Amino acid sequence: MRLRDAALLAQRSFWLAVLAAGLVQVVGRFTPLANLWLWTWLPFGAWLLLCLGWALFAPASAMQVARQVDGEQALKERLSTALALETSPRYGQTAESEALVQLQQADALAAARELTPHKTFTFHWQRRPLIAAGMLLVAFVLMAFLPNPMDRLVQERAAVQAELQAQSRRIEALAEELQQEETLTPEERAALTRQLEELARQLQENPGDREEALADIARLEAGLRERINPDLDRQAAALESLAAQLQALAQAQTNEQSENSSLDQALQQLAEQLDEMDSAEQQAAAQSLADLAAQAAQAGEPTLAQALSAMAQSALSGDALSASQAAQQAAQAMDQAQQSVSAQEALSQALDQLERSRQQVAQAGQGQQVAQNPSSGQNGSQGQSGSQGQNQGQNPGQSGGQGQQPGSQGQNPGSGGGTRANTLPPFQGQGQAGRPQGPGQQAAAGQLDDQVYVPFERVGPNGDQVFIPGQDTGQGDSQVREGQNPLPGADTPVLVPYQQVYGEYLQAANQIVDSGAIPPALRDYIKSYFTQLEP
Amino acid sequence: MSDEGLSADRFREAAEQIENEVGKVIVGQRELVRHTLVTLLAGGNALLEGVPGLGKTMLVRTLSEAIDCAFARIQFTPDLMPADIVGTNLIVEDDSGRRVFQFEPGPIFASLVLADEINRATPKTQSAMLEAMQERSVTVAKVTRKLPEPFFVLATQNPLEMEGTYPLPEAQLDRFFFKVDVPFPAVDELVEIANRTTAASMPRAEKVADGDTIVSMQQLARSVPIAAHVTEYAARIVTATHPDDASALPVTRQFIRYGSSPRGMQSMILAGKIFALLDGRYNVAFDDIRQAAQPALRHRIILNFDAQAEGVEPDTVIAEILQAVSVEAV
Repeated sequence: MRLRDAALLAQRSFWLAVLAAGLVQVVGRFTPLANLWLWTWLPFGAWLLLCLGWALFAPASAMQVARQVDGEQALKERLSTALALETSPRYGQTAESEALVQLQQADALAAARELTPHKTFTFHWQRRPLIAAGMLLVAFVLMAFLPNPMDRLVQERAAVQAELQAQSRRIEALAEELQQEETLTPEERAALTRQLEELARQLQENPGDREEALADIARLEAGLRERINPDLDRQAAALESLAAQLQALAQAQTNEQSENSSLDQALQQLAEQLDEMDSAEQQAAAQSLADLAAQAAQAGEPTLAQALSAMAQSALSGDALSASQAAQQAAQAMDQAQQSVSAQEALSQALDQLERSRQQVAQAGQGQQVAQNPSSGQNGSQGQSGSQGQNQGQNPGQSGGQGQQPGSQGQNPGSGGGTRANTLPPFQGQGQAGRPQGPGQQAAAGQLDDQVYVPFERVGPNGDQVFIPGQDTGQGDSQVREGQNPLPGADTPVLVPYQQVYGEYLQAANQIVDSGAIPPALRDYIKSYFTQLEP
Repeated sequence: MSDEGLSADRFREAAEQIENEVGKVIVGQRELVRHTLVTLLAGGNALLEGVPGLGKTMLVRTLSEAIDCAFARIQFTPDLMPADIVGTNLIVEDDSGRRVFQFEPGPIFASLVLADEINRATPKTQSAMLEAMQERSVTVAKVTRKLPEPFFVLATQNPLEMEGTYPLPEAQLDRFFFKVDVPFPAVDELVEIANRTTAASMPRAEKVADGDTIVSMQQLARSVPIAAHVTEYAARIVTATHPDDASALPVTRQFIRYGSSPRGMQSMILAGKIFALLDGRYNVAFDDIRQAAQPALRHRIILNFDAQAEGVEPDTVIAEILQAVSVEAV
C-alpha cells in the first residue's frame, strides 16, 4: 500500500518537479547560470528522492493503515475500530459491551481476510495531475531546446575563470621569484610579495567576473607604477653607457684589455696609473672623467657625478691616493645605482607580468567571437601563427609575434582566419627585445645595437635654413650652391647611444600615454612596441 | 417479547419488524419512521415539525401498537395547565366514606406520549412537560412518581400557526434528541394514503415487541463500541458550528449566531450507534455520524439575521459543515 501511495504521490507531485525545472530554465535565460542542465535536473532528482524516501523511510502506523483501508474499501471503520479497541481504554464496560467488542473484532477480522493486497491496493492513473504535468513537460522541453542567449556568457565566464586561475598561478610564481630578489629591500620585497599573493588569491576566488579581475589587477598595477621610476629605461641606459665608457676609459689609459676586470678594478688601476702619466695624459683623463661626471649628473646620479668629478680633480693634480679613494666611491656609487635600477627593473618585470595578465584576462573568452567572425576586414595573415613579412609601418605590434597567446585557452586567431575589424590583434610580446623586420632594414647587428642616427634639425642653430646635397635632374626649380654644405652630422652629433635615444622616446611615449591622449585600447600596443625595442 | 442479553441480530430484527409494522399504516416517510425509532431506542424525545394531517399522531399511535406500550395524546392549547399534563390530587371518598386525596395521574403517565402542538401552550405548561421529559418523573404535592419505562415523548410543532403561539425557547429545544421534519407526501404517496384511509378497513400494526424489549434494545445500543477518532469527528462537527471558534468555517461565521451544545454530540453518537446496529455492524462509522448530524443539530444551532434574511435553512448550513469537516484531524 505504501508503494502504491508513493506512486500516487509521485503522480500528483510530478507537475511540481516539471514546473520547478521550467522555472530554472526561465531563470537561466535571464541570468548566466553555470551547469544549467544540472540545476534543471535537480528538481526531478529531489522529486524522486522525496517520493522514494517517503515510501521507504516514512512508514504509516498501523492505525493510519487501518483508517486508510477502511476508507478505500468502505469498511465503515471496522479495522480502525478493532485496532482502537485493542489499544485504547474503554469506558463503561459491561458484559454486553464486551460481547459487542468481540463481535466487532471478529467482524473486522472477517472483513480483513477478504482483502487481497494486489486487488485491494491497485495502482491507478490520476488523469488530472498527469495531464497538467504533461502540458508543463511539453512547454519545458520546448523551452529547454531553444537557444539560450546566456550560454555565451556562461562560456565566457568559464573561460575567464580558467584564465584567472592560470594567471593566479603565474602571479604566485612571480611572487616566489621576487622573494629571492635581493636587489629589493626586505620591506619592499615583503610588501610586493604580499600584494602579489593577495592578488593571486583574489583571482583564484573570482568566479569569472572579468571586470572585477581587471580592476584588481589594475589596482596593483597602479600601485606598482607609482613606485617605478618613469625614467628607468633612460637611467638604465645612461648607467650602462657610463659603465661602458668608464671601463673603456680605464682600459685605454691603462692599456689593458682584460675583459674580466670589474669596473672597480679598472678604476683602481686607472687611479694607480695617474702618477705615472704625464700632464697631457692626466689632463685628457681628467677631461674624460669630467665629461663622464657631467653625464652622471645628467642621468640623475649625483653621488656618482661627485665621485667622478673628484676623480677628475685627482687625475688633474696627479694625486693617485685621492684618485683611488674617488675611484672606490665612484665604483660604490655605480653599484648602488645599478642595484637601484635592478630593483626598479624587478618592479617593472612584475608590472609587465601584471600587464600581460590583464591583457590575457581581457581577451579571455572572446576567442569564440573571433572564430565566429572570420572576415572582419583585417589583414588575413594576422591570424596565421608566426606570421612574418608584415609591414612594420602598419602594424608594429605584430612584429615578431607568435600565432598563439601564451596561456590563452581556446583562442587561436589563426583558426578563425582573421580578427575583428575594430580591434587590433592581441598582444604577442614576450618582453624580449625584438628586432624590427621589414625590407631594406637589414643592418649589421653590432652597429645598430650601439649607435643610431638622430633626426637632424632643418633649422640651424642661428635660424638659418639647412641645405642637404641632392642630384640635379634638370626638372623643376633648383638652386645650386657651392661650398661647404652643412651636412647632417657635421655640426651636431648624429650618432648617439641607442639606449639614450630609446630612453628618450620611451619617456616621451609614457608621458603621452599617462596624459590620456591615447585611447586605452592602444596603450598596451605602444608599450609592447617599446618593449620589443628595448635594448 | 423480552430477551435478557439481547443480541445484535435480534436488535436489528426487532427494529426491522417495528419499522415494517409501522410502515403498514404510515405511507412512505421512511426517514421519519427511522428517526422516530432511533430516538425511541436512544431513550430520547423527538420534536416533529410539519403541517397538520401528515400522520404524526398516527405514527405515535401505530408505534405504540407495535411495541405494545401505553399511548397518550396531549393536545396543547393555550389554556392547558401543568396539572392537566402531570396529574393532580383529587378529593375522593374512600370505602369508609372518608374524604381523602387521591392522585389522578395525568396523560403523561404513558410510555409513548404525543405532545401535539406543544408551541401552543404557555411556557409554564411547556416547562412542566419538558421537566417531566428530562427527569422521567413527576412531583405532585411533594410526592415524586416515576414515569414508566420506556418513556418517549414525541412533540409536534405546527409551522403554519405563529399567531398566539409560544415558540419553545432554545434551551428547551436542546432537550429534544432529534428534530424531524415531516415532509408533505408525494403524489404516489398521497394516492396510497387515500387508498388505505378511505377504505372500509384500515390496516393495523401488529405487536412485534414490548416495553422490555425496547429497554433491552436501549441498553444494547449504548454498548456499541466507538473508536476515538470517530468520537473526535463528532466533536469537531459540533465545534464547527460555533462562530467564535478560532477555526470556525466561513459559513459558520456568516450564518450561525449560536452553535450546538454538547447534547448535539451526544445525540449524534447515540444515534450513530443505533444506525450501526441497524446496518448490521458492531461499530460506529463516520457515515453514521453524518447520517445523524442533521436531525441532531438542526434545532440546536441558532441562525442569525443574515441567514433569515437570505432564507438559509439550518440543514443547508449543516450540510456545508459536514462537507468542510474532514474525517482526518488537522
